[in-house]
Amino acid sequence: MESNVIIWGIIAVLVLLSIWLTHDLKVENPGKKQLMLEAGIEWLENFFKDLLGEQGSRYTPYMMTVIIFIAVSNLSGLLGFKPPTKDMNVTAALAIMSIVLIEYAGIHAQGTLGWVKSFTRPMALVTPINIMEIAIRPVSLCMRLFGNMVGGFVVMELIKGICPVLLPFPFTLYFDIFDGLIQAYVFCLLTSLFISEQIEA
Amino acid sequence: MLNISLWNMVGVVVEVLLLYVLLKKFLFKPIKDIQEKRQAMIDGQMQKADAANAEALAFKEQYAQKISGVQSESNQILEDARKQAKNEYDRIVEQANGEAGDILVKAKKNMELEREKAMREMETQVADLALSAASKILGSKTGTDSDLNLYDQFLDKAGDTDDRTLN
Repeated sequence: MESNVIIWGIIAVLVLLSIWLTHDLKVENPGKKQLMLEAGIEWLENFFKDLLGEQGSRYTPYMMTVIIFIAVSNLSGLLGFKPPTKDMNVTAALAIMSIVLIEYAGIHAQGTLGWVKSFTRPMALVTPINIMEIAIRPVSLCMRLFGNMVGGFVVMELIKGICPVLLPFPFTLYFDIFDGLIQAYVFCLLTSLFISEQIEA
Repeated sequence: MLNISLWNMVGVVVEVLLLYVLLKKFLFKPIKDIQEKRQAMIDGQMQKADAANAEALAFKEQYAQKISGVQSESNQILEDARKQAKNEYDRIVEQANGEAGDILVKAKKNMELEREKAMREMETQVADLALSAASKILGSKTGTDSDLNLYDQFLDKAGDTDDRTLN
Protein backbone atom coordinates (compact mmCIF):
# COMPACT_ATOMS: atom_id res chain seq x y z
CA MET A 1 0.00 0.00 0.00
CA GLU A 2 2.83 2.27 0.84
CA SER A 3 4.25 2.11 -2.66
CA ASN A 4 0.96 3.35 -4.13
CA VAL A 5 1.31 6.51 -2.12
CA ILE A 6 4.86 7.01 -3.32
CA ILE A 7 3.72 6.38 -6.91
CA TRP A 8 1.10 9.09 -6.54
CA GLY A 9 3.82 11.36 -5.29
CA ILE A 10 6.02 10.46 -8.24
CA ILE A 11 3.14 11.14 -10.62
CA ALA A 12 2.51 14.52 -9.02
CA VAL A 13 6.20 15.46 -9.14
CA LEU A 14 6.60 14.33 -12.75
CA VAL A 15 3.49 16.15 -13.93
CA LEU A 16 4.39 19.36 -12.12
CA LEU A 17 7.93 19.11 -13.44
CA SER A 18 6.60 18.61 -16.97
CA ILE A 19 4.32 21.60 -16.68
CA TRP A 20 7.15 23.72 -15.33
CA LEU A 21 9.55 22.55 -18.03
CA THR A 22 7.13 23.02 -20.91
CA HIS A 23 5.32 26.17 -19.85
CA ASP A 24 7.51 28.55 -21.85
CA LEU A 25 8.71 26.57 -24.83
CA LYS A 26 9.89 28.74 -27.67
CA VAL A 27 10.14 28.02 -31.35
CA GLU A 28 13.08 30.33 -31.76
CA ASN A 29 16.07 30.83 -29.46
CA PRO A 30 15.20 28.13 -26.94
CA GLY A 31 16.80 28.54 -23.54
CA LYS A 32 19.27 26.13 -21.98
CA LYS A 33 16.48 24.44 -20.05
CA GLN A 34 14.43 23.86 -23.16
CA LEU A 35 17.40 22.62 -25.14
CA MET A 36 18.27 20.09 -22.48
CA LEU A 37 14.65 18.99 -22.19
CA GLU A 38 14.28 18.62 -25.94
CA ALA A 39 17.59 16.82 -26.30
CA GLY A 40 16.69 14.40 -23.49
CA ILE A 41 13.22 13.64 -24.79
CA GLU A 42 14.50 13.33 -28.32
CA TRP A 43 17.22 10.97 -27.20
CA LEU A 44 14.66 8.73 -25.50
CA GLU A 45 12.35 8.94 -28.48
CA ASN A 46 15.07 8.00 -30.94
CA PHE A 47 16.20 5.17 -28.70
CA PHE A 48 12.74 3.62 -28.73
CA LYS A 49 12.08 4.42 -32.36
CA ASP A 50 15.24 2.56 -33.32
CA LEU A 51 14.11 -0.43 -31.27
CA LEU A 52 10.47 -0.42 -32.30
CA GLY A 53 10.84 0.58 -35.92
CA GLU A 54 8.56 2.80 -37.93
CA GLN A 55 5.53 0.60 -37.41
CA GLY A 56 5.95 0.44 -33.66
CA SER A 57 6.53 4.16 -33.18
CA ARG A 58 3.01 4.43 -31.75
CA TYR A 59 4.27 2.66 -28.62
CA THR A 60 7.14 5.07 -27.98
CA PRO A 61 5.21 7.42 -25.65
CA TYR A 62 4.23 4.50 -23.42
CA MET A 63 7.78 3.15 -23.35
CA MET A 64 9.10 6.63 -22.56
CA THR A 65 6.60 6.93 -19.73
CA VAL A 66 7.64 3.57 -18.33
CA ILE A 67 11.38 4.26 -18.52
CA ILE A 68 10.92 7.64 -16.84
CA PHE A 69 8.67 6.11 -14.19
CA ILE A 70 11.01 3.20 -13.40
CA ALA A 71 14.10 5.42 -13.41
CA VAL A 72 12.49 7.93 -11.07
CA SER A 73 11.13 5.15 -8.86
CA ASN A 74 14.52 3.51 -8.62
CA LEU A 75 16.23 6.81 -7.84
CA SER A 76 13.60 7.85 -5.31
CA GLY A 77 15.47 5.70 -2.79
CA LEU A 78 18.20 8.35 -2.84
CA LEU A 79 15.78 10.83 -1.31
CA GLY A 80 14.92 8.46 1.50
CA PHE A 81 11.72 7.04 0.05
CA LYS A 82 11.09 3.36 -0.27
CA PRO A 83 11.46 2.79 -4.02
CA PRO A 84 8.13 1.54 -5.45
CA THR A 85 10.07 -0.86 -7.66
CA LYS A 86 11.17 -2.65 -4.52
CA ASP A 87 7.54 -3.72 -4.14
CA MET A 88 6.72 -6.80 -6.19
CA ASN A 89 3.16 -5.57 -6.71
CA VAL A 90 4.56 -2.69 -8.74
CA THR A 91 7.02 -4.69 -10.81
CA ALA A 92 4.41 -7.36 -11.43
CA ALA A 93 1.88 -4.78 -12.53
CA LEU A 94 4.45 -3.23 -14.88
CA ALA A 95 5.38 -6.63 -16.27
CA ILE A 96 1.74 -7.56 -16.83
CA MET A 97 1.18 -4.27 -18.62
CA SER A 98 4.24 -5.01 -20.74
CA ILE A 99 3.07 -8.48 -21.77
CA VAL A 100 -0.42 -7.16 -22.52
CA LEU A 101 1.12 -4.47 -24.68
CA ILE A 102 3.43 -6.97 -26.38
CA GLU A 103 0.60 -9.34 -27.29
CA TYR A 104 -1.66 -6.41 -28.24
CA ALA A 105 1.03 -5.16 -30.58
CA GLY A 106 1.22 -8.62 -32.13
CA ILE A 107 -2.54 -8.78 -32.64
CA HIS A 108 -2.65 -5.22 -33.94
CA ALA A 109 0.16 -5.80 -36.41
CA GLN A 110 -0.65 -9.30 -37.69
CA GLY A 111 -4.36 -9.69 -37.02
CA THR A 112 -5.74 -12.22 -34.58
CA LEU A 113 -5.21 -15.18 -36.90
CA GLY A 114 -1.68 -14.12 -37.74
CA TRP A 115 -0.96 -13.63 -34.06
CA VAL A 116 -2.21 -17.15 -33.25
CA LYS A 117 -0.20 -18.56 -36.13
CA SER A 118 2.91 -16.73 -34.96
CA PHE A 119 3.11 -19.21 -32.05
CA THR A 120 4.04 -21.93 -34.48
CA ARG A 121 7.06 -20.07 -35.72
CA PRO A 122 9.81 -20.86 -36.46
CA MET A 123 8.43 -24.44 -36.37
CA ALA A 124 5.38 -26.18 -34.93
CA LEU A 125 7.54 -28.01 -32.41
CA VAL A 126 8.27 -24.84 -30.42
CA THR A 127 4.61 -23.90 -30.02
CA PRO A 128 4.42 -24.95 -26.33
CA ILE A 129 7.53 -22.95 -25.56
CA ASN A 130 6.09 -19.93 -27.35
CA ILE A 131 2.89 -20.23 -25.35
CA MET A 132 4.83 -20.58 -22.13
CA GLU A 133 6.72 -17.45 -23.01
CA ILE A 134 3.53 -15.45 -22.49
CA ALA A 135 3.91 -16.26 -18.81
CA ILE A 136 7.71 -16.47 -18.67
CA ARG A 137 8.41 -13.05 -20.15
CA PRO A 138 6.44 -10.98 -17.64
CA VAL A 139 7.68 -13.10 -14.75
CA SER A 140 11.29 -12.58 -15.81
CA LEU A 141 10.72 -8.87 -16.31
CA CYS A 142 9.04 -8.57 -12.94
CA MET A 143 11.58 -10.61 -11.05
CA ARG A 144 14.61 -9.03 -12.66
CA LEU A 145 13.53 -5.56 -11.68
CA PHE A 146 12.28 -6.55 -8.26
CA GLY A 147 15.30 -8.73 -7.48
CA ASN A 148 17.78 -6.10 -8.49
CA MET A 149 16.13 -3.42 -6.42
CA VAL A 150 15.74 -5.63 -3.36
CA GLY A 151 19.22 -6.99 -3.77
CA GLY A 152 20.67 -3.52 -4.04
CA PHE A 153 18.66 -2.41 -1.03
CA VAL A 154 19.80 -5.40 1.08
CA VAL A 155 23.44 -4.93 0.13
CA MET A 156 23.23 -1.24 0.92
CA GLU A 157 21.66 -1.99 4.31
CA LEU A 158 24.47 -4.45 5.07
CA ILE A 159 27.11 -1.89 4.09
CA LYS A 160 25.42 0.74 6.19
CA GLY A 161 25.42 -1.76 9.03
CA ILE A 162 29.18 -2.21 8.71
CA CYS A 163 30.03 1.46 8.52
CA PRO A 164 27.38 4.11 8.08
CA VAL A 165 29.91 6.87 7.34
CA LEU A 166 31.63 7.40 3.96
CA LEU A 167 31.78 3.71 3.07
CA PRO A 168 28.23 3.54 1.61
CA PHE A 169 28.98 6.46 -0.67
CA PRO A 170 30.70 4.66 -3.59
CA PHE A 171 28.32 1.74 -3.24
CA THR A 172 25.27 3.91 -3.39
CA LEU A 173 26.57 5.24 -6.70
CA TYR A 174 26.51 1.73 -8.05
CA PHE A 175 23.49 0.13 -6.36
CA ASP A 176 21.15 3.08 -6.26
CA ILE A 177 22.06 5.18 -9.27
CA PHE A 178 23.80 2.98 -11.81
CA ASP A 179 21.80 -0.17 -11.15
CA GLY A 180 18.57 1.77 -10.90
CA LEU A 181 19.07 3.36 -14.31
CA ILE A 182 20.34 0.12 -15.84
CA GLN A 183 17.28 -1.76 -14.63
CA ALA A 184 14.94 0.87 -16.04
CA TYR A 185 16.85 0.63 -19.31
CA VAL A 186 16.78 -3.18 -19.37
CA PHE A 187 13.09 -3.39 -18.57
CA CYS A 188 12.16 -1.04 -21.39
CA LEU A 189 14.73 -2.44 -23.80
CA LEU A 190 13.31 -5.95 -23.39
CA THR A 191 9.71 -4.81 -23.65
CA SER A 192 10.53 -2.88 -26.82
CA LEU A 193 12.41 -5.83 -28.29
CA PHE A 194 9.47 -8.14 -27.64
CA ILE A 195 7.09 -5.60 -29.17
CA SER A 196 9.20 -5.19 -32.28
CA GLU A 197 9.53 -8.98 -32.51
CA GLN A 198 5.74 -9.22 -32.50
CA ILE A 199 5.38 -6.45 -35.06
CA GLU A 200 7.95 -7.79 -37.47
CA ALA A 201 7.07 -11.47 -37.15
CA MET B 1 7.08 -6.32 -0.16
CA LEU B 2 6.53 -9.89 -1.23
CA ASN B 3 2.82 -10.31 -0.67
CA ILE B 4 0.97 -9.87 -3.89
CA SER B 5 -2.37 -8.14 -3.70
CA LEU B 6 -4.56 -7.89 -6.76
CA TRP B 7 -5.92 -4.51 -5.72
CA ASN B 8 -2.47 -3.09 -5.25
CA MET B 9 -1.55 -4.25 -8.72
CA VAL B 10 -4.71 -2.79 -10.22
CA GLY B 11 -3.87 0.44 -8.43
CA VAL B 12 -0.39 0.45 -9.94
CA VAL B 13 -1.78 -0.26 -13.40
CA VAL B 14 -4.21 2.64 -13.05
CA GLU B 15 -1.45 4.89 -11.79
CA VAL B 16 0.92 4.01 -14.60
CA LEU B 17 -1.80 4.53 -17.20
CA LEU B 18 -2.66 7.84 -15.61
CA LEU B 19 1.01 8.84 -15.65
CA TYR B 20 1.13 7.83 -19.31
CA VAL B 21 -1.82 10.04 -20.17
CA LEU B 22 -0.54 12.97 -18.13
CA LEU B 23 3.04 12.81 -19.46
CA LYS B 24 1.74 12.54 -22.98
CA LYS B 25 -0.39 15.62 -22.45
CA PHE B 26 2.05 17.72 -20.47
CA LEU B 27 5.47 16.59 -21.64
CA PHE B 28 5.58 14.77 -24.97
CA LYS B 29 2.89 16.69 -26.78
CA PRO B 30 4.16 20.23 -26.05
CA ILE B 31 7.67 19.24 -27.08
CA LYS B 32 6.43 17.56 -30.24
CA ASP B 33 4.29 20.60 -31.03
CA ILE B 34 7.14 22.98 -30.59
CA GLN B 35 9.43 20.83 -32.71
CA GLU B 36 6.84 20.59 -35.46
CA LYS B 37 6.34 24.34 -35.33
CA ARG B 38 10.07 24.84 -35.59
CA GLN B 39 10.27 22.43 -38.49
CA ALA B 40 7.43 24.27 -40.21
CA MET B 41 9.18 27.57 -39.61
CA ILE B 42 12.45 26.24 -40.99
CA ASP B 43 10.67 24.80 -44.01
CA GLY B 44 8.90 28.10 -44.56
CA GLN B 45 12.12 30.02 -44.33
CA MET B 46 13.83 27.62 -46.68
CA GLN B 47 11.01 28.03 -49.14
CA LYS B 48 11.17 31.78 -48.79
CA ALA B 49 14.91 31.73 -49.32
CA ASP B 50 14.50 29.55 -52.38
CA ALA B 51 11.87 31.89 -53.78
CA ALA B 52 14.08 34.91 -53.11
CA ASN B 53 16.98 33.16 -54.75
CA ALA B 54 14.95 32.32 -57.84
CA GLU B 55 13.69 35.87 -58.01
CA ALA B 56 17.21 37.24 -57.75
CA LEU B 57 18.35 34.89 -60.49
CA ALA B 58 15.49 36.02 -62.72
CA PHE B 59 16.43 39.63 -62.08
CA LYS B 60 20.04 38.88 -62.86
CA GLU B 61 19.05 37.28 -66.14
CA GLN B 62 16.87 40.24 -66.96
CA TYR B 63 19.64 42.71 -66.19
CA ALA B 64 22.16 40.75 -68.19
CA GLN B 65 19.80 40.82 -71.12
CA LYS B 66 19.25 44.52 -70.66
CA ILE B 67 22.97 45.18 -70.45
CA SER B 68 23.69 43.18 -73.57
CA GLY B 69 20.85 45.04 -75.30
CA VAL B 70 22.35 48.35 -74.26
CA GLN B 71 25.76 47.22 -75.47
CA SER B 72 24.49 46.30 -78.91
CA GLU B 73 22.42 49.45 -79.05
CA SER B 74 25.41 51.62 -78.25
CA ASN B 75 27.43 49.70 -80.80
CA GLN B 76 24.68 50.37 -83.33
CA ILE B 77 24.67 54.06 -82.48
CA LEU B 78 28.44 54.27 -82.80
CA GLU B 79 28.31 52.45 -86.09
CA ASP B 80 25.60 54.76 -87.40
CA ALA B 81 27.50 57.83 -86.29
CA ARG B 82 30.67 56.57 -87.91
CA LYS B 83 28.88 55.85 -91.16
CA GLN B 84 27.22 59.22 -91.14
CA ALA B 85 30.49 60.99 -90.41
CA LYS B 86 32.17 59.12 -93.25
CA ASN B 87 29.39 60.07 -95.62
CA GLU B 88 29.64 63.66 -94.55
CA TYR B 89 33.40 63.60 -94.94
CA ASP B 90 33.18 62.04 -98.39
CA ARG B 91 30.59 64.54 -99.43
CA ILE B 92 32.63 67.50 -98.19
CA VAL B 93 35.82 66.26 -99.80
CA GLU B 94 34.05 65.64 -103.07
CA GLN B 95 32.51 69.08 -102.98
CA ALA B 96 35.85 70.64 -102.18
CA ASN B 97 37.49 68.73 -105.01
CA GLY B 98 34.78 69.84 -107.38
CA GLU B 99 35.15 73.45 -106.31
CA ALA B 100 38.90 73.31 -106.58
CA GLY B 101 38.59 71.84 -110.09
CA ASP B 102 36.18 74.62 -111.10
CA ILE B 103 38.53 77.24 -109.75
CA LEU B 104 41.45 75.69 -111.64
CA VAL B 105 39.47 75.52 -114.85
CA LYS B 106 38.33 79.09 -114.43
CA ALA B 107 41.85 80.25 -113.68
CA LYS B 108 43.16 78.46 -116.76
CA LYS B 109 40.46 80.05 -118.88
CA ASN B 110 41.31 83.47 -117.43
CA MET B 111 44.96 82.93 -118.17
CA GLU B 112 44.14 81.88 -121.73
CA LEU B 113 42.00 84.94 -122.20
CA GLU B 114 44.70 87.14 -120.75
CA ARG B 115 47.27 85.67 -123.11
CA GLU B 116 45.07 86.04 -126.12
CA LYS B 117 44.47 89.59 -125.13
CA ALA B 118 48.21 90.20 -124.83
CA MET B 119 48.89 88.54 -128.14
CA ARG B 120 46.32 90.61 -129.86
CA GLU B 121 47.79 93.73 -128.34
CA MET B 122 51.21 92.65 -129.44
CA GLU B 123 50.01 91.97 -132.95
CA THR B 124 48.51 95.42 -133.17
CA GLN B 125 51.71 96.92 -131.86
CA VAL B 126 53.77 94.95 -134.37
CA ALA B 127 51.46 96.12 -137.10
CA ASP B 128 51.78 99.67 -135.84
CA LEU B 129 55.52 99.25 -135.73
CA ALA B 130 55.63 97.91 -139.27
CA LEU B 131 53.42 100.69 -140.41
CA SER B 132 55.57 103.40 -138.79
CA ALA B 133 58.72 101.70 -140.06
CA ALA B 134 57.30 101.71 -143.57
CA SER B 135 56.32 105.33 -143.31
CA LYS B 136 59.80 106.21 -142.09
CA ILE B 137 61.42 104.36 -144.94
CA LEU B 138 59.18 106.07 -147.36
CA GLY B 139 59.80 109.41 -145.70
CA SER B 140 63.65 109.24 -145.41
CA LYS B 141 66.45 108.79 -147.98
CA THR B 142 67.19 105.50 -149.46
CA GLY B 143 70.59 103.76 -149.24
CA THR B 144 72.36 101.15 -147.39
CA ASP B 145 72.96 103.43 -144.48
CA SER B 146 69.39 104.15 -144.08
CA ASP B 147 68.58 100.55 -144.65
CA LEU B 148 70.88 99.51 -141.86
CA ASN B 149 69.61 102.21 -139.71
CA LEU B 150 66.13 101.06 -140.38
CA TYR B 151 66.96 97.50 -139.50
CA ASP B 152 68.53 98.52 -136.32
CA GLN B 153 65.67 100.66 -135.47
CA PHE B 154 63.22 97.88 -136.27
CA LEU B 155 65.16 95.33 -134.38
CA ASP B 156 65.48 97.67 -131.53
CA LYS B 157 61.87 98.26 -131.31
CA ALA B 158 60.69 94.83 -132.19
CA GLY B 159 63.17 93.22 -129.88
CA ASP B 160 62.21 95.58 -127.21
CA THR B 161 58.56 94.98 -127.58
CA ASP B 162 59.12 91.29 -128.01
CA ASP B 163 61.16 91.08 -124.89
CA ARG B 164 58.65 93.04 -122.98
CA THR B 165 55.60 91.06 -124.04
CA LEU B 166 57.18 87.62 -123.84
CA ASN B 167 58.75 88.13 -120.54
